Amino acid sequence: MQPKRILIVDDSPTLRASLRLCLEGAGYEVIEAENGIDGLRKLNNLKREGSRVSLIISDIIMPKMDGITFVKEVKKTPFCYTPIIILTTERDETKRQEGREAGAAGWLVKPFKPQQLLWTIKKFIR
Amino acid sequence: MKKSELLDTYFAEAEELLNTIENQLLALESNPEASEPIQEMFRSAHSLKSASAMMGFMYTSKFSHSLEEVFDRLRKGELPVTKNLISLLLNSVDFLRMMHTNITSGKPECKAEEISQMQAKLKRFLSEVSEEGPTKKFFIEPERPSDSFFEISMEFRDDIFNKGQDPLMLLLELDELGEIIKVVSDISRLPDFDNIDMYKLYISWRLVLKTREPLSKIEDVFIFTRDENDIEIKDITRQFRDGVNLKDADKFIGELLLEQGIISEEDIQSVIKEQKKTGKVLVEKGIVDKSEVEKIAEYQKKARLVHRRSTIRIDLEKVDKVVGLVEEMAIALMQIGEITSEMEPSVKRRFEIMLKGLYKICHQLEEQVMKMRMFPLEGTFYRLQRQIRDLAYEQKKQIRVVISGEDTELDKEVIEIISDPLKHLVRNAVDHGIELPSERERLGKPRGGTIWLKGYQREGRIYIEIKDDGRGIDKEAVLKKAIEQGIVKSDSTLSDEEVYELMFHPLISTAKHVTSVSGRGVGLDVVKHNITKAGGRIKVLSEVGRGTTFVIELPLTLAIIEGTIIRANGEVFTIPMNFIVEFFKPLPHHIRTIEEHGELVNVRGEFLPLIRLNKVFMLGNGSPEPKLVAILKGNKKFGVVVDEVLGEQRVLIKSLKENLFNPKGIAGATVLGDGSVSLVIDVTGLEELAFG
Repeated sequence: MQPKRILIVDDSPTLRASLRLCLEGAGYEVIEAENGIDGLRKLNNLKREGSRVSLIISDIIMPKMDGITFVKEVKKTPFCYTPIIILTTERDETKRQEGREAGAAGWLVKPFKPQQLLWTIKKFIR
Repeated sequence: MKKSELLDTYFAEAEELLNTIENQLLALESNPEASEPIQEMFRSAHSLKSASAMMGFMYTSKFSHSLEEVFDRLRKGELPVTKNLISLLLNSVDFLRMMHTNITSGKPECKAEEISQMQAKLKRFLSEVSEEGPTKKFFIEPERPSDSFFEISMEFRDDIFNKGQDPLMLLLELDELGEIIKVVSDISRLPDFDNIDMYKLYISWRLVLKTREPLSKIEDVFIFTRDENDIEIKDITRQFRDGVNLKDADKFIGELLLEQGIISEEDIQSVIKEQKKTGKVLVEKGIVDKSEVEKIAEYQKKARLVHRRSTIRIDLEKVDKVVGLVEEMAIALMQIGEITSEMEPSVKRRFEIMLKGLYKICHQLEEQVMKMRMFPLEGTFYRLQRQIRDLAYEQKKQIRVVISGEDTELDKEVIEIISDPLKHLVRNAVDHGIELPSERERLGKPRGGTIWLKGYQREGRIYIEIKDDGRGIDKEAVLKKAIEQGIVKSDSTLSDEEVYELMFHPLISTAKHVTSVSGRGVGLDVVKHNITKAGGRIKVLSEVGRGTTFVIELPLTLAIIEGTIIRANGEVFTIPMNFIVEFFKPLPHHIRTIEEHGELVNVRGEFLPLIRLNKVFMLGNGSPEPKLVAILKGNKKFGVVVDEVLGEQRVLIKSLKENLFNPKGIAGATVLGDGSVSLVIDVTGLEELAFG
């Protein structure tokens, strides 16, 4: 079976690397993007190839295009039914709310442990 | 990607972020009005905070968080840009670099006092709320010791798929928490096929989940869905027993079918219209006169009314709570009684008289409350009667059942424990006791046999007798078998009672060919075990050719026992009094250790195994020389080393299950007169623990 593909959108190389380490360990295929614009570009590439992505994990505070705008933009594409998990920090209660209103499926608070990440993902894809 | 590579990635990123902050600080210093540098620094500090936290560098993360706060305030114009602040922030960057150098050389990030010093310097630039920093809530609920039942109803918004959420995933996740024992899907909102929008959800679910997980775990399943959807989680453990919801007992079948989604409300209405009442049908068929039916209907109405007025149904759990409270009151009274010794003689006398009155009321209250837990034997006896009838029919035997004392009441719990043993005894009586009619005729007995089921109460104990007029027990055969099995010596002389006692021995009771000779069945050892466990005894009387009687003696209740309080190895234990044969003061030569059997105590020529509670319960070392031995009799006789006997008391056993678990050999705990807690020994459990 084709491994499920996850797009991670984060400006921090450390965060991307940690996510990749954990997700690949769990058997997922990972695509990285550095910010919202880059994320939309990666999705566009997939669309052209006729490929899909099962889940998107996106940071909120990023240069060029932040996570909230990114979520809103994704909802305008054919990827609108793809679950999006936003990464927030402990006190980003308002950001979390904004993300949900924009259409995010769930959120994950940084820092997180690998099992928290996998537990959250399991709520949307299997 | 390996972990070491991840670390390299982090250091590279951190260095870049710190360089950015440093450069932008310098840029800000030369142009304090510029907003771009502040934005950039804020983002960098934020990134460093997250990245270091992911790597587990908590000091770095905490300190970056403070920096992020300062940049945030600068960004919002809440702080002025000063030379002072910029120097401090540059120092902060150096401090973060120092921490990273420490990490790369294998040292801790920094000392606790170093970071608090730096934090103190930044403090006056921080807003008040930020002081506390990120706090984590840790709330760990213990796993429940037994299954709980939750009824979960889920009604999602029809556009849930737009969010990327999928109810199926939630159902799968719930299934992982335990067992979904019932699911009902409500498809009433599902439109005609032509009108279905495949991106919409029309179905809602109601399910019962059996799980040991706490409520919070179940709530976690819906963490992303609960706010915007209609999710209801109800703990129904208290009303859910043996696979049924007690609330369903009073519902009509139509209601239940409707709830299960099998039929619709319209279906019910249409059927109800067609239904005719029994009375009406009888009148229509001309079987009874209409006026008769009306009279009886009137009577029924009155009977129901009176019944409703005179009875209430109470949950057993509520009764048990009252029992517990009454018992606590009794203990409190006892404690009050203990202080009378400090009183003036004149006051003391009056006080004691009043206290005595209170004791009496308390005792009566206890009795009345215990009665609420009591059920008559009636139901049990009628079930046995039915069983006898069916068995007799199968085996072509004629058996009459005579029931008496069916209104004798005993504790519901006790009834449950003895129900299987009783079935077993009745079966034996039919299978092996009562002869076939032809055989009985040949023996000069009536063709039909009789089995008597009798219940009565005597001196606070309940007795149940099962008597038959069948073959009786062949003592010789039992004894022969026991000798063959090496249970008794060939030259020993046993009383009748001792021979009958042998029938409960596992090696005898399971021996099939004894059965055919003696006319007694298998599994009596199990019967005895269950009855002993319920704090009861079983005795057998028999006469060859005339029949057999089993007499079962039981306590009224399991919750309250007469206990003897002892001290062993400095710990106070309560032993149910009915298990105690005697207390024995051994001399040193009475105690012997025999390799295969361990320690034995010689009680007037009888060698009994000796248990030390400290060894069984692992309590530490005890005194080498036992001064006192309690001789107990569960399934067998054995001795327990005790330090001293402290007294006797009626005690209410409280289960430990709610707090811990019931360890083997311990029936529960009880509160003594002085308010201290004592463990109550489960004698049969202790036996199993000590002798396997």
